[in-house]
Amino acid sequence: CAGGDGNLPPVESRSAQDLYLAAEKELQTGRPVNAGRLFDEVERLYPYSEWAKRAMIMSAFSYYDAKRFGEARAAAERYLDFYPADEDAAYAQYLVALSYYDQIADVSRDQTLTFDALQALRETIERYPDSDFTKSAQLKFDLALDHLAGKEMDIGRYYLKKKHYTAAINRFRVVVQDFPTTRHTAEALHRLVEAYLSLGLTEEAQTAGAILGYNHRGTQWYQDSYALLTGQGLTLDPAGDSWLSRIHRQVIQGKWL
Amino acid sequence: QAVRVGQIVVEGNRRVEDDTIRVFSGLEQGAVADTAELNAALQRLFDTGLFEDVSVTPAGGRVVIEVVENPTINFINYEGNQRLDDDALAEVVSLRARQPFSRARAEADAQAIQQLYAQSGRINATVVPKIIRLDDNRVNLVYEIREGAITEVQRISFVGNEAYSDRRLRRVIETGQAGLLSWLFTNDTYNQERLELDKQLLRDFYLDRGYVDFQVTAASAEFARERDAFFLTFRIDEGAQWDFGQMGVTVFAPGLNEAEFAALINVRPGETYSAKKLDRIVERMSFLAGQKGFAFVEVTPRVTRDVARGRVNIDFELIEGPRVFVERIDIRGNRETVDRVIRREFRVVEGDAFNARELREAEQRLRALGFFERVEVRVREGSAPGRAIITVDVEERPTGSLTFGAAYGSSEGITGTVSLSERNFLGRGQAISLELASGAESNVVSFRFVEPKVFDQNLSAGFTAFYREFEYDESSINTTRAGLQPFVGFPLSEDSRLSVRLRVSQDKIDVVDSAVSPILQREAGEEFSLGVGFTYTLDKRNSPIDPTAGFIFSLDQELNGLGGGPQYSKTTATARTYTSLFDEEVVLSAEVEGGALVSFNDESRFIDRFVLGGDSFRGFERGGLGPRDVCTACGGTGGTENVNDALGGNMFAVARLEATFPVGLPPDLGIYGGVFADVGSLWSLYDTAGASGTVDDSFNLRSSAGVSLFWDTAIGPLRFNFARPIVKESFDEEEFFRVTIDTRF
Amino acid sequence: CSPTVTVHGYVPSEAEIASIEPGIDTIASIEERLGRPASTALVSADEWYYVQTTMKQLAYNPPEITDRVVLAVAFDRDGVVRDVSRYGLNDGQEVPLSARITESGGQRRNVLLAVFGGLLNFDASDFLNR
Repeated sequence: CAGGDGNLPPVESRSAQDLYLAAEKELQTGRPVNAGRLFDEVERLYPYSEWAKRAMIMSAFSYYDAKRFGEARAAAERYLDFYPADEDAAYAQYLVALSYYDQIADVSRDQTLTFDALQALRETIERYPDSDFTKSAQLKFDLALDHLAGKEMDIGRYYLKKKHYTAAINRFRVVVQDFPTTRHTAEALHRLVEAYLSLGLTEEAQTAGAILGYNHRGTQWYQDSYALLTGQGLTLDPAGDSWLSRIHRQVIQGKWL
Repeated sequence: QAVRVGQIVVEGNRRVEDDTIRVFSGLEQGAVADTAELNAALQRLFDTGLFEDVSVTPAGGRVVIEVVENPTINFINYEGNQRLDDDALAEVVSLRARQPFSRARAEADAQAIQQLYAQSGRINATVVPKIIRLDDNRVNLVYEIREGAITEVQRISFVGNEAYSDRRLRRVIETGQAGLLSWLFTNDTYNQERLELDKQLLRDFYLDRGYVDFQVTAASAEFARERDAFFLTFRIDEGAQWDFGQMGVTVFAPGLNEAEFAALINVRPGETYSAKKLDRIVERMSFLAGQKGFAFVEVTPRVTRDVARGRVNIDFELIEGPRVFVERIDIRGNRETVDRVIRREFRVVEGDAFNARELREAEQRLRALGFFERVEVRVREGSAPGRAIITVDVEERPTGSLTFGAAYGSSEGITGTVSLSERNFLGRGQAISLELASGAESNVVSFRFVEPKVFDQNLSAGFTAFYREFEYDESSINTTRAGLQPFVGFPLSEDSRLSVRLRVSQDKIDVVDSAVSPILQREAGEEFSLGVGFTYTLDKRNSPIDPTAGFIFSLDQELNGLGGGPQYSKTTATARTYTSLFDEEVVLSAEVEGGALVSFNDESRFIDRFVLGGDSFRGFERGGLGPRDVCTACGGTGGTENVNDALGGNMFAVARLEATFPVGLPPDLGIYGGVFADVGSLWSLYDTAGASGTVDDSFNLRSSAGVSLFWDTAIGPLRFNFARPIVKESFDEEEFFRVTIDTRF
Repeated sequence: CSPTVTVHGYVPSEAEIASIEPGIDTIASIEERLGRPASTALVSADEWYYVQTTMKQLAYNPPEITDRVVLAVAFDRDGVVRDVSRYGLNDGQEVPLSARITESGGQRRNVLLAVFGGLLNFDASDFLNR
């Protein structure tokens, strides 16, 4: 039932090592799914052998490599059930996190996978603090957080465009207060300047501009806010705002502003 | 008594390592542990699900943990399942191959499979997990399944209904009886949710017709052991039929004037009570209050009974409600649909006053999009009192569809249609569809793209690209029209809509038969035509699917010839009204349709003129009535061939009367009958110099009558028409029989 | 066809605004009488903003703002009302919004997948028109 070329003896009768090496060969020759299946056979036929443990983590890696995220996660979680304190456990946990992380949808869609990824990444960092995956788990954690901030921005821009300034302000505040370290904070502050000026609350606009200047002076957002606040008006490329190009951007490209 | 935990000894484990078991037990080497702590360790080890049996016993300075590992699952397979395949079952099962087997989880999985069968209507399915022991402490897990037959609803009967017959109420209820092709239908299997829905449908039906006290007192389902079906009986108490009585408004919120709200009551005393009308009035009143800045005013109708006159007096009370704001609207489950496409259906915005009615309406609007299997708008307490967080959970459904249709008419033969459409393109709510229709005498290819809400407002825009080729044997010519039609559309009011379009097309008429009428000969050739037009529709029917009351009116006006080519104005208007008799069993409809083409250079072409016959005038072939150039041995090259060509007309008017009624067969067969009569004519040409001399293009009345038979099959609603002209011209072409399968649009 | 008017946000009634007494009213009394506002000051929560916007929309063109009231209630350090100010529609500026956005990744839906993806998973009931 498993892969392997026709002339090999049926799986049942092959030794754990033989199956394991065949699986490794499949992996090197760019057939990760077959590799995953063969590693599973090692575990199924010889659960108590030393090969079984290795095979379980290798099967998780093979499925992940083949972008079969569901199977990869199942194999990794099984490894963690049996060998939580083992040296490959950190990698298994990290694979679980990656299987969520790689499926994160763009900001305008459901973000449940982002939350799952954050959860799994946090577990990687907290349960295996000094493993060699902790650093890249930390990096991916920040990127996933950044993604959640992106979603708040997406909704904030929607309300800003529709002139619902209070709704927009509250969304951008969430980014500034709950996601201070993400790349979106600068834009959030500039949007707050835009929204507060539209409402006529100039001091609040200046406060937002000041925070932007203090933390993110080098950004284009700061230049935009500076221009708005000092009244010179934002420089807009002429083509940017013609009626037709707005239709093109929104209906064809799906870009929103 | 506490004991010092010296060394922790682990015994009986084969796969799980000693260290792992020590970590799981949570016991620390060298710490003091009392019996409670030891028990906790025991429990922790059990919770891992890895062990069949565990014991933790202190012995001298050491603690001995003895385990019996759960066997590892080698294979899981299912026996006895036909209706649901292994993959479907695997989805609900938590145990997987190579995981440790545990009896508790196997039992739970068996239960899950049984639940899955119940949902698909097989209530009496049984699932038993069995283990086959293998060497090396491994097992094969087998689920033995006995599906049992589908539990169908055999007959629905009602007790206590005087005002409406069992048949009428059955039509109200969605659970059709077990029909002929029952294994195809999914909606007539018995499940609890559907029963609740049926009760709600009955309640809405009666509440809309004045039965204020209507109640479903009991809904019992006797299970027919041998025929695996249910007999559903609804015991209902209709109560009396009430009318609207005195209606008034009392305002408790300062600053609102009663007269303005009283003006919104559009129901006169004596009219039959209707829950829908009452709801509409409450809706309009709260909207008006909102517009006046009183966001928190709640409108509650207080009902008092005038028993003597059988009337219900209603006093609309406007009371200032609690000040609650919407803090956030969170949308979840939209894996395909873009957030904005859902959010824009909400009139309420974050920071606005909380309004339960608006949330219900938004939920309706989301369901009406047709993108979701399930939509649930829920409210929970926000981050502070007076704050509400709205969560919108959607479950998407496949929005691509492939539908087939066919029509047979004695003159045009069979035409088949295939249409491929995607209603939620890229999750942006845009709709694209490609339609191919071809038959003996026509080929049509059209592609359509619609963005329903440009800039998220009520403005839809899109275009249709089309290629339409028709063979008119009866006029010995072919017409081909290929072009592009961009359009925009927007609602004018709740029930009316305006759509404006531009049409750019290349129109060609070519002659295919030597014996052709000189009139058509002169019109042959290719023209580029550019026109603008609008369509106004007002739809006051009580239901778009099977209307039994109300009317629909539409006006279409087109101006053509802006960029050269034929210059004309073409106007078409249709009005159709519906009514019903014998508690909506018999549905009558009367339709009047007319059209006029007025040319600015006193010429018109066949492709632009109106053609009647076939579906538009039953009893006559397509083009079978109207001005016709007929003569023998007067056409063709040598002037020896007969000419018999329909010329179409610049003006037409038709009245169609129709009645549909049940034919006494059990309704679940979906067969019902109809009679119809068409009266009208097609007339007026600019060029009447035909092969037969001057062609008579005056108004000659035609009429026809006939019967039709409808059958709702699984493939689609089938319609058979048998019609016979009554008043006709000698040269008209008749058509006695016609059948169509209406494709779903 | 008459335009539809919608009101968003909330500002207390004229009578309630008039009843605010600087120097006497506190955060608690304001919250109790007027309710907590939808938006508070960015940094120090010592300034409360009530905003109410009236929008008019005619058939297809975008909604325009016909009126806006912004009520700002400022508190001093001990939470006592310092002053009350009111801004109208004309205090707001018509701000050109920057069209640039900070890109974020994630699986985009590509066109081909959408067209055929949508088709591939149509369910049989659509096909059978039931």
